[in-house]
Amino acid sequence: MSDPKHELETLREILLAQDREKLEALREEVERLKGKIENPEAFLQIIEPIIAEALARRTQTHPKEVAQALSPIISDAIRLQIQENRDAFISVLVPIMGPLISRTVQEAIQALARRVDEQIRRATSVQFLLKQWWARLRGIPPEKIVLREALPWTPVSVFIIDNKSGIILTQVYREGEEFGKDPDLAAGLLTAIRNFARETFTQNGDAPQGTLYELRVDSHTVLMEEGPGFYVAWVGRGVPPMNAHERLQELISVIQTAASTTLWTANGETPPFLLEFLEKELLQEEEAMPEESGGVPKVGIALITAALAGILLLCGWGAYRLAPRAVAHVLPTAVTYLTPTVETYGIPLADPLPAVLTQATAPRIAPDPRAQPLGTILPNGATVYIVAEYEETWAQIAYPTAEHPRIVGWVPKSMLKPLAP
Amino acid sequence: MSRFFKVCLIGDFAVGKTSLARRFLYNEYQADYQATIGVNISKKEIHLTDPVPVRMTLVIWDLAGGEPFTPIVEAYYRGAAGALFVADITRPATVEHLSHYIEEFRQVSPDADAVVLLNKVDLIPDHAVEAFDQEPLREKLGLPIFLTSARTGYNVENAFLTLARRLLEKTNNA
Repeated sequence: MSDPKHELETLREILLAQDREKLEALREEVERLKGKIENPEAFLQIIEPIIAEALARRTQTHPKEVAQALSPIISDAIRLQIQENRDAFISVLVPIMGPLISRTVQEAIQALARRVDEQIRRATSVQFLLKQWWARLRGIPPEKIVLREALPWTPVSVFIIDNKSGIILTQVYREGEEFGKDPDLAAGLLTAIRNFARETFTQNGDAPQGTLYELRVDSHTVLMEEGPGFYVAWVGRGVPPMNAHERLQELISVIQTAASTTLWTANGETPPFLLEFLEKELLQEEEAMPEESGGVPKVGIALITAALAGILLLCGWGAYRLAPRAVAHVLPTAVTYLTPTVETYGIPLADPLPAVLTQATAPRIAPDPRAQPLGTILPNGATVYIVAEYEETWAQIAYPTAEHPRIVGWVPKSMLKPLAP
Repeated sequence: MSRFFKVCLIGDFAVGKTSLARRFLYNEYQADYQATIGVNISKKEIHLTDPVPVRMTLVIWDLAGGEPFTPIVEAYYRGAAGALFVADITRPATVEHLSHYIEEFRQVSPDADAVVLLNKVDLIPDHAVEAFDQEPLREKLGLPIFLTSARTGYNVENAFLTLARRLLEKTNNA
Protein backbone atom coordinates (compact mmCIF):
# COMPACT_ATOMS: atom_id res chain seq x y z
CA MET A 1 0.00 0.00 0.00
CA SER A 2 1.37 3.37 -0.97
CA ASP A 3 2.09 6.08 1.54
CA PRO A 4 -0.34 9.05 1.18
CA LYS A 5 2.33 11.45 2.29
CA HIS A 6 4.76 10.18 -0.27
CA GLU A 7 2.12 10.35 -2.92
CA LEU A 8 1.29 13.92 -1.91
CA GLU A 9 4.92 14.87 -2.04
CA THR A 10 5.26 13.31 -5.46
CA LEU A 11 2.17 15.17 -6.62
CA ARG A 12 3.55 18.38 -5.19
CA GLU A 13 6.79 17.84 -7.04
CA ILE A 14 5.02 17.22 -10.29
CA LEU A 15 2.80 20.29 -9.94
CA LEU A 16 5.36 22.66 -8.55
CA ALA A 17 8.57 21.47 -10.21
CA GLN A 18 8.64 24.20 -12.83
CA ASP A 19 7.78 26.92 -10.32
CA ARG A 20 10.45 25.65 -7.97
CA GLU A 21 13.00 25.76 -10.74
CA LYS A 22 12.03 29.27 -11.63
CA LEU A 23 12.16 30.31 -8.00
CA GLU A 24 15.60 28.82 -7.60
CA ALA A 25 16.82 30.58 -10.71
CA LEU A 26 15.42 33.88 -9.43
CA ARG A 27 17.06 33.35 -6.10
CA GLU A 28 20.38 32.74 -7.76
CA GLU A 29 19.95 35.84 -9.90
CA VAL A 30 19.11 37.98 -6.88
CA GLU A 31 22.15 36.68 -5.09
CA ARG A 32 24.28 37.43 -8.10
CA LEU A 33 22.94 40.99 -8.41
CA LYS A 34 23.22 41.53 -4.70
CA GLY A 35 26.80 40.47 -4.89
CA LYS A 36 27.46 42.98 -7.67
CA ILE A 37 25.76 45.86 -5.91
CA GLU A 38 27.48 45.17 -2.66
CA ASN A 39 30.81 44.76 -4.39
CA PRO A 40 31.98 48.30 -5.24
CA GLU A 41 34.24 47.21 -8.07
CA ALA A 42 31.50 45.22 -9.75
CA PHE A 43 28.96 48.04 -9.22
CA LEU A 44 31.30 50.54 -10.86
CA GLN A 45 31.60 48.35 -13.90
CA ILE A 46 27.80 48.43 -14.27
CA ILE A 47 27.24 52.16 -13.96
CA GLU A 48 30.45 53.45 -15.51
CA PRO A 49 29.35 53.05 -19.15
CA ILE A 50 26.08 54.86 -18.61
CA ILE A 51 26.92 57.56 -16.07
CA ALA A 52 27.89 60.16 -18.69
CA GLU A 53 24.76 59.62 -20.70
CA ALA A 54 22.61 59.63 -17.57
CA LEU A 55 24.14 62.96 -16.52
CA ALA A 56 23.63 64.41 -19.98
CA ARG A 57 19.98 63.35 -20.02
CA ARG A 58 19.38 64.68 -16.56
CA THR A 59 21.02 67.97 -17.47
CA GLN A 60 18.64 68.32 -20.40
CA THR A 61 15.52 67.61 -18.36
CA HIS A 62 16.55 69.19 -15.04
CA PRO A 63 19.44 71.55 -15.68
CA LYS A 64 19.02 73.66 -12.56
CA GLU A 65 19.00 70.64 -10.30
CA VAL A 66 22.18 69.29 -11.84
CA ALA A 67 23.84 72.70 -11.60
CA GLN A 68 22.86 72.99 -7.94
CA ALA A 69 24.15 69.53 -7.24
CA LEU A 70 27.50 70.14 -8.94
CA SER A 71 28.13 73.77 -7.97
CA PRO A 72 29.65 73.10 -4.53
CA ILE A 73 32.48 71.15 -6.10
CA ILE A 74 32.97 72.93 -9.43
CA SER A 75 35.10 75.77 -8.09
CA ASP A 76 37.24 73.33 -6.09
CA ALA A 77 37.63 71.15 -9.15
CA ILE A 78 38.73 74.11 -11.30
CA ARG A 79 41.19 75.24 -8.65
CA LEU A 80 42.64 71.78 -8.43
CA GLN A 81 42.93 71.51 -12.18
CA ILE A 82 44.71 74.83 -12.47
CA GLN A 83 47.15 73.79 -9.81
CA GLU A 84 47.86 70.46 -11.41
CA ASN A 85 47.79 71.54 -15.06
CA ARG A 86 48.75 75.18 -15.15
CA ASP A 87 50.44 75.11 -18.56
CA ALA A 88 47.35 73.78 -20.29
CA PHE A 89 45.24 76.60 -18.84
CA ILE A 90 47.77 79.22 -19.85
CA SER A 91 47.89 77.95 -23.43
CA VAL A 92 44.10 78.16 -23.60
CA LEU A 93 43.84 81.62 -22.05
CA VAL A 94 46.75 83.39 -23.75
CA PRO A 95 45.16 83.68 -27.24
CA ILE A 96 42.06 85.16 -25.63
CA MET A 97 43.80 87.49 -23.22
CA GLY A 98 45.97 89.22 -25.80
CA PRO A 99 43.16 90.74 -27.85
CA LEU A 100 41.13 91.29 -24.68
CA ILE A 101 43.88 93.31 -23.05
CA SER A 102 44.57 95.21 -26.26
CA ARG A 103 40.94 96.20 -26.58
CA THR A 104 40.63 97.12 -22.93
CA VAL A 105 43.72 99.29 -23.08
CA GLN A 106 42.49 101.01 -26.24
CA GLU A 107 39.16 101.77 -24.65
CA ALA A 108 40.90 103.03 -21.54
CA ILE A 109 43.08 105.33 -23.62
CA GLN A 110 40.04 106.67 -25.44
CA ALA A 111 38.32 107.30 -22.13
CA LEU A 112 41.45 109.04 -20.84
CA ALA A 113 41.64 111.11 -24.00
CA ARG A 114 38.06 112.21 -23.47
CA ARG A 115 38.80 113.23 -19.89
CA VAL A 116 41.94 115.07 -20.91
CA ASP A 117 40.02 116.80 -23.64
CA GLU A 118 37.39 117.90 -21.17
CA GLN A 119 40.06 119.45 -18.97
CA ILE A 120 41.74 121.14 -21.87
CA ARG A 121 38.46 122.62 -22.99
CA ARG A 122 38.27 124.51 -19.73
CA ALA A 123 41.82 125.77 -20.10
CA THR A 124 42.74 129.04 -21.76
CA SER A 125 44.81 127.53 -24.55
CA VAL A 126 44.75 129.71 -27.65
CA GLN A 127 46.12 126.88 -29.77
CA PHE A 128 43.41 124.54 -28.62
CA LEU A 129 40.76 127.20 -29.19
CA LEU A 130 42.02 127.61 -32.71
CA LYS A 131 42.01 123.83 -33.28
CA GLN A 132 38.55 123.63 -31.84
CA TRP A 133 37.28 126.45 -34.05
CA TRP A 134 38.82 124.88 -37.16
CA ALA A 135 37.32 121.46 -36.27
CA ARG A 136 33.85 122.97 -35.74
CA LEU A 137 34.07 124.74 -39.08
CA ARG A 138 34.64 121.38 -40.73
CA GLY A 139 31.88 119.70 -38.76
CA ILE A 140 34.26 117.51 -36.73
CA PRO A 141 33.72 117.09 -32.98
CA PRO A 142 36.71 118.71 -31.20
CA GLU A 143 37.26 115.66 -28.99
CA LYS A 144 38.27 113.80 -32.15
CA ILE A 145 41.28 116.10 -32.41
CA VAL A 146 42.55 114.89 -29.05
CA LEU A 147 41.74 111.30 -29.95
CA ARG A 148 43.71 111.64 -33.13
CA GLU A 149 46.68 112.80 -31.08
CA ALA A 150 46.34 109.83 -28.76
CA LEU A 151 45.69 107.22 -31.48
CA PRO A 152 47.29 108.27 -34.76
CA TRP A 153 46.16 106.52 -37.93
CA THR A 154 48.48 103.66 -38.90
CA PRO A 155 47.69 102.34 -42.38
CA VAL A 156 47.92 98.60 -42.80
CA SER A 157 46.87 97.95 -46.38
CA VAL A 158 44.90 99.19 -49.35
CA PHE A 159 42.75 97.00 -51.57
CA ILE A 160 41.10 97.74 -54.86
CA ILE A 161 38.35 95.16 -55.30
CA ASP A 162 36.07 94.35 -58.20
CA ASN A 163 32.54 95.42 -57.27
CA LYS A 164 30.77 92.38 -58.61
CA SER A 165 33.02 89.38 -58.17
CA GLY A 166 34.81 90.53 -55.01
CA ILE A 167 38.15 89.60 -56.55
CA ILE A 168 41.12 91.73 -55.57
CA LEU A 169 42.45 93.82 -58.45
CA THR A 170 45.27 95.40 -56.48
CA GLN A 171 46.53 95.13 -52.93
CA VAL A 172 49.40 96.85 -51.18
CA TYR A 173 50.59 96.30 -47.65
CA ARG A 174 52.68 98.42 -45.37
CA GLU A 175 55.88 96.62 -44.56
CA GLY A 176 55.51 94.34 -41.58
CA GLU A 177 51.72 94.58 -41.50
CA GLU A 178 49.03 92.08 -42.39
CA PHE A 179 45.25 91.98 -42.06
CA GLY A 180 43.20 88.83 -41.81
CA LYS A 181 44.11 85.26 -42.61
CA ASP A 182 43.50 85.39 -46.34
CA PRO A 183 42.97 88.68 -48.18
CA ASP A 184 41.16 86.99 -51.09
CA LEU A 185 38.52 85.50 -48.80
CA ALA A 186 38.31 88.75 -46.82
CA ALA A 187 37.68 90.67 -50.06
CA GLY A 188 34.97 88.24 -51.13
CA LEU A 189 33.21 88.41 -47.78
CA LEU A 190 33.54 92.19 -47.65
CA THR A 191 31.88 92.36 -51.07
CA ALA A 192 29.09 90.07 -49.88
CA ILE A 193 28.59 92.27 -46.80
CA ARG A 194 28.43 95.41 -48.97
CA ASN A 195 25.87 93.74 -51.23
CA PHE A 196 23.85 92.73 -48.21
CA ALA A 197 23.89 96.29 -46.80
CA ARG A 198 22.90 97.75 -50.15
CA GLU A 199 19.97 95.40 -50.65
CA THR A 200 18.80 95.74 -47.05
CA PHE A 201 18.69 99.54 -46.97
CA THR A 202 17.32 100.23 -50.45
CA GLN A 203 13.61 101.04 -50.52
CA ASN A 204 11.52 99.46 -53.25
CA GLY A 205 11.79 101.44 -56.45
CA ASP A 206 14.54 103.75 -55.20
CA ALA A 207 18.01 103.98 -56.63
CA PRO A 208 20.39 101.69 -54.69
CA GLN A 209 21.31 103.10 -51.29
CA GLY A 210 22.92 101.67 -48.19
CA THR A 211 26.52 102.07 -49.37
CA LEU A 212 28.88 100.81 -46.68
CA TYR A 213 31.58 103.40 -46.01
CA GLU A 214 33.20 102.14 -42.85
CA LEU A 215 33.64 98.93 -40.90
CA ARG A 216 35.37 98.44 -37.55
CA VAL A 217 36.91 95.07 -36.70
CA ASP A 218 38.59 94.98 -33.27
CA SER A 219 41.33 97.62 -33.44
CA HIS A 220 41.19 97.90 -37.24
CA THR A 221 39.01 100.22 -39.29
CA VAL A 222 38.17 99.55 -42.94
CA LEU A 223 37.27 102.70 -44.88
CA MET A 224 35.59 102.20 -48.24
CA GLU A 225 34.72 104.33 -51.25
CA GLU A 226 33.09 103.19 -54.44
CA GLY A 227 34.32 103.80 -57.97
CA PRO A 228 32.98 102.64 -61.34
CA GLY A 229 33.16 98.86 -61.30
CA PHE A 230 35.39 98.67 -58.23
CA TYR A 231 35.70 99.91 -54.69
CA VAL A 232 38.66 100.87 -52.54
CA ALA A 233 39.16 99.53 -49.02
CA TRP A 234 41.71 101.27 -46.81
CA VAL A 235 42.58 99.29 -43.68
CA GLY A 236 44.32 100.82 -40.69
CA ARG A 237 44.54 101.14 -36.92
CA GLY A 238 43.74 104.22 -34.84
CA VAL A 239 41.53 107.18 -35.61
CA PRO A 240 41.13 107.77 -39.35
CA PRO A 241 42.32 111.15 -40.66
CA MET A 242 39.72 113.86 -41.17
CA ASN A 243 40.07 113.80 -44.93
CA ALA A 244 40.25 110.01 -45.29
CA HIS A 245 37.26 109.61 -47.58
CA GLU A 246 38.33 112.59 -49.68
CA ARG A 247 41.70 110.96 -50.21
CA LEU A 248 40.02 107.76 -51.30
CA GLN A 249 37.84 109.72 -53.71
CA GLU A 250 40.97 111.31 -55.07
CA LEU A 251 42.44 107.86 -55.67
CA ILE A 252 39.30 106.90 -57.55
CA SER A 253 39.55 110.04 -59.66
CA VAL A 254 43.17 109.24 -60.47
CA ILE A 255 42.19 105.75 -61.58
CA GLN A 256 39.26 107.03 -63.63
CA THR A 257 41.10 109.72 -65.48
CA ALA A 258 44.38 107.86 -65.93
CA ALA A 259 42.90 105.07 -68.03
CA SER A 260 39.75 105.19 -70.07
CA THR A 261 39.82 101.47 -70.90
CA THR A 262 41.33 98.64 -68.94
CA LEU A 263 43.51 99.75 -66.13
CA TRP A 264 44.81 96.39 -65.13
CA THR A 265 46.64 94.19 -67.61
CA ALA A 266 45.34 90.78 -68.68
CA ASN A 267 47.75 89.18 -66.21
CA GLY A 268 46.30 91.20 -63.39
CA GLU A 269 49.36 93.40 -62.90
CA THR A 270 48.87 96.84 -61.48
CA PRO A 271 50.30 99.86 -63.33
CA PRO A 272 53.40 101.20 -61.59
CA PHE A 273 51.99 104.73 -61.29
CA LEU A 274 49.05 103.41 -59.29
CA LEU A 275 51.27 101.39 -56.96
CA GLU A 276 53.38 104.48 -56.41
CA PHE A 277 50.32 106.58 -55.68
CA LEU A 278 48.98 104.05 -53.19
CA GLU A 279 52.27 103.73 -51.35
CA LYS A 280 52.91 107.44 -51.25
CA GLU A 281 49.44 108.72 -50.48
CA LEU A 282 47.81 106.00 -48.42
CA LEU A 283 50.44 103.82 -46.82
CA GLN A 284 52.53 106.44 -45.07
CA GLU A 285 51.96 106.62 -41.35
CA GLU A 286 50.12 109.75 -40.25
CA GLU A 287 52.11 112.01 -37.97
CA ALA A 288 50.53 112.68 -34.65
CA MET A 289 49.82 116.32 -34.12
CA PRO A 290 53.10 117.96 -33.03
CA GLU A 291 53.38 119.05 -29.44
CA GLU A 292 53.45 122.68 -28.69
CA SER A 293 56.90 124.06 -29.25
CA GLY A 294 58.58 126.51 -26.95
CA GLY A 295 58.86 130.17 -27.70
CA VAL A 296 56.32 132.78 -26.71
CA PRO A 297 54.36 131.59 -23.66
CA LYS A 298 50.65 130.92 -24.01
CA VAL A 299 49.68 133.75 -21.74
CA GLY A 300 51.64 136.14 -23.89
CA ILE A 301 49.92 134.95 -27.07
CA ALA A 302 46.57 135.32 -25.36
CA LEU A 303 47.33 138.87 -24.28
CA ILE A 304 48.59 139.91 -27.70
CA THR A 305 45.57 138.35 -29.39
CA ALA A 306 43.24 140.11 -26.97
CA ALA A 307 44.98 143.43 -27.57
CA LEU A 308 44.77 143.07 -31.35
CA ALA A 309 41.12 142.09 -31.15
CA GLY A 310 40.44 145.15 -28.99
CA ILE A 311 42.12 147.49 -31.46
CA LEU A 312 40.18 145.99 -34.37
CA LEU A 313 36.93 146.38 -32.48
CA LEU A 314 37.74 149.99 -31.70
CA CYS A 315 38.51 150.74 -35.33
CA GLY A 316 35.35 149.04 -36.45
CA TRP A 317 33.23 150.95 -33.97
CA GLY A 318 34.82 154.18 -35.05
CA ALA A 319 34.20 153.47 -38.70
CA TYR A 320 30.62 152.66 -37.93
CA ARG A 321 30.12 155.92 -36.03
CA LEU A 322 31.71 158.06 -38.70
CA ALA A 323 30.32 156.45 -41.86
CA PRO A 324 27.07 157.79 -43.33
CA ARG A 325 24.22 155.39 -42.83
CA ALA A 326 21.65 154.63 -45.48
CA VAL A 327 18.00 154.93 -44.62
CA ALA A 328 17.08 151.72 -46.33
CA HIS A 329 18.92 148.63 -47.56
CA VAL A 330 18.20 146.60 -50.64
CA LEU A 331 18.62 142.88 -49.98
CA PRO A 332 20.59 141.00 -52.66
CA THR A 333 18.54 138.62 -54.76
CA ALA A 334 21.17 137.54 -57.29
CA VAL A 335 21.94 133.86 -57.74
CA THR A 336 25.50 132.85 -56.97
CA TYR A 337 27.45 130.67 -59.33
CA LEU A 338 30.50 129.01 -57.91
CA THR A 339 32.24 127.80 -61.03
CA PRO A 340 34.06 129.34 -63.94
CA THR A 341 31.98 130.06 -67.02
CA VAL A 342 31.27 127.36 -69.55
CA GLU A 343 33.41 129.10 -72.16
CA THR A 344 36.54 128.52 -70.07
CA TYR A 345 36.44 124.72 -70.59
CA GLY A 346 34.70 122.40 -72.99
CA ILE A 347 31.79 122.67 -75.34
CA PRO A 348 28.41 123.82 -74.04
CA LEU A 349 25.35 121.81 -75.01
CA ALA A 350 22.41 123.44 -76.73
CA ASP A 351 19.95 121.76 -74.38
CA PRO A 352 20.85 120.42 -70.93
CA LEU A 353 20.73 116.63 -70.84
CA PRO A 354 19.13 114.97 -67.81
CA ALA A 355 21.27 112.30 -66.14
CA VAL A 356 21.57 110.52 -62.84
CA LEU A 357 24.69 110.15 -60.70
CA THR A 358 25.81 106.56 -60.20
CA GLN A 359 27.76 107.37 -57.06
CA ALA A 360 28.01 110.08 -54.43
CA THR A 361 30.55 112.70 -55.44
CA ALA A 362 31.64 116.30 -54.94
CA PRO A 363 31.75 118.16 -58.28
CA ARG A 364 34.97 120.01 -58.94
CA ILE A 365 35.59 123.55 -60.09
CA ALA A 366 37.41 122.34 -63.21
CA PRO A 367 37.57 119.17 -65.30
CA ASP A 368 40.69 117.92 -63.57
CA PRO A 369 41.00 115.31 -60.80
CA ARG A 370 43.35 117.66 -58.98
CA ALA A 371 40.89 120.54 -59.09
CA GLN A 372 39.34 121.66 -55.85
CA PRO A 373 36.07 119.96 -55.04
CA LEU A 374 33.03 122.05 -54.25
CA GLY A 375 31.72 122.02 -50.73
CA THR A 376 28.56 120.16 -51.74
CA ILE A 377 28.54 116.38 -52.01
CA LEU A 378 25.83 115.20 -54.36
CA PRO A 379 24.18 111.93 -53.36
CA ASN A 380 24.17 108.73 -55.37
CA GLY A 381 21.11 108.68 -57.60
CA ALA A 382 20.76 112.47 -57.76
CA THR A 383 19.20 113.81 -60.95
CA VAL A 384 21.41 116.41 -62.62
CA TYR A 385 21.62 118.19 -65.97
CA ILE A 386 24.67 118.02 -68.23
CA VAL A 387 25.35 121.52 -69.53
CA ALA A 388 28.79 121.04 -71.13
CA GLU A 389 31.35 118.41 -71.99
CA TYR A 390 35.15 118.43 -71.97
CA GLU A 391 37.37 116.03 -73.91
CA GLU A 392 34.72 113.27 -73.81
CA THR A 393 35.65 112.33 -70.25
CA TRP A 394 34.25 115.21 -68.19
CA ALA A 395 30.82 116.71 -67.93
CA GLN A 396 29.71 119.97 -66.36
CA ILE A 397 26.50 119.46 -64.44
CA ALA A 398 23.83 121.68 -62.94
CA TYR A 399 22.07 120.62 -59.77
CA PRO A 400 19.56 122.55 -57.69
CA THR A 401 19.99 122.67 -53.91
CA ALA A 402 18.08 124.34 -51.14
CA GLU A 403 20.90 126.83 -50.51
CA HIS A 404 21.64 127.69 -54.14
CA PRO A 405 19.19 127.34 -56.98
CA ARG A 406 21.92 126.04 -59.30
CA ILE A 407 25.28 124.52 -58.46
CA VAL A 408 27.51 123.91 -61.47
CA GLY A 409 30.58 121.70 -61.28
CA TRP A 410 32.56 119.10 -63.16
CA VAL A 411 32.34 115.33 -62.73
CA PRO A 412 33.81 112.43 -64.76
CA LYS A 413 31.32 111.26 -67.35
CA SER A 414 31.71 107.70 -66.11
CA MET A 415 29.78 108.74 -62.98
CA LEU A 416 26.75 109.74 -65.01
CA LYS A 417 24.00 107.67 -66.51
CA PRO A 418 21.91 109.56 -69.06
CA LEU A 419 18.15 109.51 -68.58
CA ALA A 420 15.71 109.10 -71.42
CA PRO A 421 14.45 112.56 -72.45
CA MET B 1 50.79 84.94 -61.42
CA SER B 2 47.55 83.16 -60.50
CA ARG B 3 44.36 84.18 -62.30
CA PHE B 4 41.26 84.44 -60.20
CA PHE B 5 37.78 83.25 -61.16
CA LYS B 6 34.63 83.54 -59.09
CA VAL B 7 32.43 80.45 -59.28
CA CYS B 8 29.10 79.86 -57.53
CA LEU B 9 27.71 76.61 -56.14
CA ILE B 10 23.97 76.71 -56.76
CA GLY B 11 21.15 74.31 -56.04
CA ASP B 12 18.37 73.33 -53.64
CA PHE B 13 19.00 72.93 -49.95
CA ALA B 14 20.73 69.76 -48.72
CA VAL B 15 21.86 68.59 -52.15
CA GLY B 16 25.48 68.58 -51.01
CA LYS B 17 26.89 71.89 -52.18
CA THR B 18 28.91 72.54 -49.05
CA SER B 19 30.02 68.91 -48.88
CA LEU B 20 31.23 69.08 -52.47
CA ALA B 21 33.15 72.26 -51.71
CA ARG B 22 34.75 70.67 -48.65
CA ARG B 23 35.64 67.57 -50.60
CA PHE B 24 37.26 69.64 -53.33
CA LEU B 25 39.02 72.08 -51.00
CA TYR B 26 40.09 69.85 -48.12
CA ASN B 27 39.34 66.31 -49.35
CA GLU B 28 37.14 65.70 -46.32
CA TYR B 29 33.51 64.91 -45.64
CA GLN B 30 31.28 65.55 -42.63
CA ALA B 31 28.17 63.44 -42.29
CA ASP B 32 26.23 65.86 -40.06
CA TYR B 33 24.24 68.46 -41.94
CA GLN B 34 24.58 72.18 -41.19
CA ALA B 35 22.63 74.61 -43.31
CA THR B 36 24.68 77.38 -44.93
CA ILE B 37 23.60 80.82 -43.76
CA GLY B 38 24.04 83.41 -46.49
CA VAL B 39 27.23 82.48 -48.25
CA ASN B 40 30.50 80.69 -47.54
CA ILE B 41 33.48 81.88 -49.53
CA SER B 42 36.61 79.81 -49.99
CA LYS B 43 39.32 79.46 -52.57
CA LYS B 44 41.61 76.88 -54.08
CA GLU B 45 44.60 77.31 -56.32
CA ILE B 46 44.77 74.87 -59.21
CA HIS B 47 47.77 74.00 -61.31
CA LEU B 48 46.84 72.90 -64.80
CA THR B 49 49.47 71.47 -67.08
CA ASP B 50 47.56 70.83 -70.27
CA PRO B 51 48.07 72.33 -72.79
CA VAL B 52 50.49 74.66 -70.96
CA PRO B 53 51.29 75.01 -67.28
CA VAL B 54 49.05 77.62 -65.74
CA ARG B 55 47.99 78.58 -62.24
CA MET B 56 44.48 79.64 -61.53
CA THR B 57 42.51 80.26 -58.36
CA LEU B 58 38.85 79.41 -57.99
CA VAL B 59 37.09 81.63 -55.47
CA ILE B 60 34.10 79.49 -54.58
CA TRP B 61 30.89 81.14 -53.38
CA ASP B 62 28.84 78.43 -51.70
CA LEU B 63 25.34 79.89 -51.50
CA ALA B 64 22.56 78.87 -49.15
CA GLY B 65 20.27 76.50 -50.99
CA GLY B 66 16.67 76.99 -51.94
CA GLU B 67 16.70 80.76 -51.67
CA PRO B 68 14.25 82.67 -53.87
CA PHE B 69 15.79 84.87 -56.55
CA THR B 70 16.07 88.09 -54.53
CA PRO B 71 18.33 91.07 -55.22
CA ILE B 72 20.81 89.75 -52.65
CA VAL B 73 21.06 86.41 -54.48
CA GLU B 74 21.39 88.33 -57.72
CA ALA B 75 24.26 90.26 -56.14
CA TYR B 76 25.97 87.01 -55.22
CA TYR B 77 25.72 85.79 -58.82
CA ARG B 78 27.13 89.00 -60.21
CA GLY B 79 30.67 88.86 -61.55
CA ALA B 80 30.78 85.07 -61.55
CA ALA B 81 32.90 83.49 -64.25
CA GLY B 82 31.34 80.09 -63.72
CA ALA B 83 28.87 78.01 -61.76
CA LEU B 84 28.33 74.46 -60.56
CA PHE B 85 24.65 73.57 -60.46
CA VAL B 86 24.07 70.78 -57.97
CA ALA B 87 21.14 68.41 -57.53
CA ASP B 88 20.53 65.38 -55.37
CA ILE B 89 20.12 62.39 -57.66
CA THR B 90 17.90 60.69 -55.08
CA ARG B 91 15.46 63.66 -55.05
CA PRO B 92 14.07 64.17 -58.56
CA ALA B 93 12.53 67.53 -57.64
CA THR B 94 16.01 68.99 -57.12
CA VAL B 95 16.96 67.90 -60.64
CA GLU B 96 13.85 69.53 -62.05
CA HIS B 97 14.68 72.79 -60.31
CA LEU B 98 18.07 72.99 -62.03
CA SER B 99 16.67 74.63 -65.14
CA HIS B 100 15.20 77.48 -63.03
CA TYR B 101 18.52 78.09 -61.33
CA ILE B 102 20.34 78.06 -64.66
CA GLU B 103 17.88 80.55 -66.12
CA GLU B 104 18.17 82.90 -63.13
CA PHE B 105 21.94 82.69 -63.17
CA ARG B 106 22.07 83.40 -66.91
CA GLN B 107 20.06 86.58 -66.40
CA VAL B 108 22.83 87.96 -64.22
CA SER B 109 25.93 86.37 -65.76
CA PRO B 110 25.06 85.45 -69.32
CA ASP B 111 28.69 84.86 -70.34
CA ALA B 112 29.58 82.55 -67.50
CA ASP B 113 30.31 78.87 -68.05
CA ALA B 114 28.84 76.07 -65.98
CA VAL B 115 28.61 72.36 -65.26
CA VAL B 116 25.93 70.23 -63.59
CA LEU B 117 26.61 67.84 -60.72
CA LEU B 118 24.16 65.10 -59.80
CA ASN B 119 25.35 64.36 -56.31
CA LYS B 120 24.89 61.52 -53.77
CA VAL B 121 25.43 58.87 -56.39
CA ASP B 122 26.78 56.62 -53.61
CA LEU B 123 23.21 56.17 -52.39
CA ILE B 124 22.01 54.41 -55.53
CA PRO B 125 23.06 50.93 -56.69
CA ASP B 126 25.93 50.61 -59.15
CA HIS B 127 23.76 49.11 -61.84
CA ALA B 128 21.41 52.09 -61.61
CA VAL B 129 24.35 54.44 -62.00
CA GLU B 130 25.51 52.60 -65.12
CA ALA B 131 22.02 52.51 -66.54
CA PHE B 132 21.38 56.21 -65.92
CA ASP B 133 20.95 58.00 -69.24
CA GLN B 134 22.44 61.47 -68.99
CA GLU B 135 21.74 62.44 -72.57
CA PRO B 136 18.18 63.79 -72.21
CA LEU B 137 19.18 65.94 -69.26
CA ARG B 138 22.31 67.13 -71.01
CA GLU B 139 20.27 68.13 -74.02
CA LYS B 140 17.70 69.90 -71.90
CA LEU B 141 20.19 71.88 -69.81
CA GLY B 142 22.90 72.29 -72.43
CA LEU B 143 25.68 71.67 -69.95
CA PRO B 144 28.10 68.84 -69.13
CA ILE B 145 26.80 66.52 -66.43
CA PHE B 146 28.78 64.76 -63.74
CA LEU B 147 27.59 62.06 -61.38
CA THR B 148 29.36 62.76 -58.12
CA SER B 149 29.54 61.73 -54.50
CA ALA B 150 30.87 64.15 -51.91
CA ARG B 151 30.88 61.29 -49.42
CA THR B 152 33.21 59.06 -51.41
CA GLY B 153 34.86 61.81 -53.48
CA TYR B 154 33.77 60.17 -56.71
CA ASN B 155 34.14 62.48 -59.70
CA VAL B 156 34.24 65.65 -57.57
CA GLU B 157 37.69 66.86 -58.55
CA ASN B 158 36.98 65.96 -62.16
CA ALA B 159 33.90 68.17 -62.19
CA PHE B 160 35.69 71.18 -60.69
CA LEU B 161 38.74 70.79 -62.92
CA THR B 162 36.55 70.48 -66.02
CA LEU B 163 34.89 73.77 -65.15
CA ALA B 164 38.30 75.32 -64.48
CA ARG B 165 39.58 74.24 -67.89
CA ARG B 166 36.49 75.57 -69.61
CA LEU B 167 36.91 78.94 -67.85
CA LEU B 168 40.54 79.14 -68.87
CA GLU B 169 39.75 78.24 -72.45
CA LYS B 170 37.02 80.84 -72.60
CA THR B 171 39.34 83.51 -71.20
CA ASN B 172 42.13 82.64 -73.61
CA ASN B 173 39.73 82.72 -76.56
CA ALA B 174 38.37 86.07 -75.43
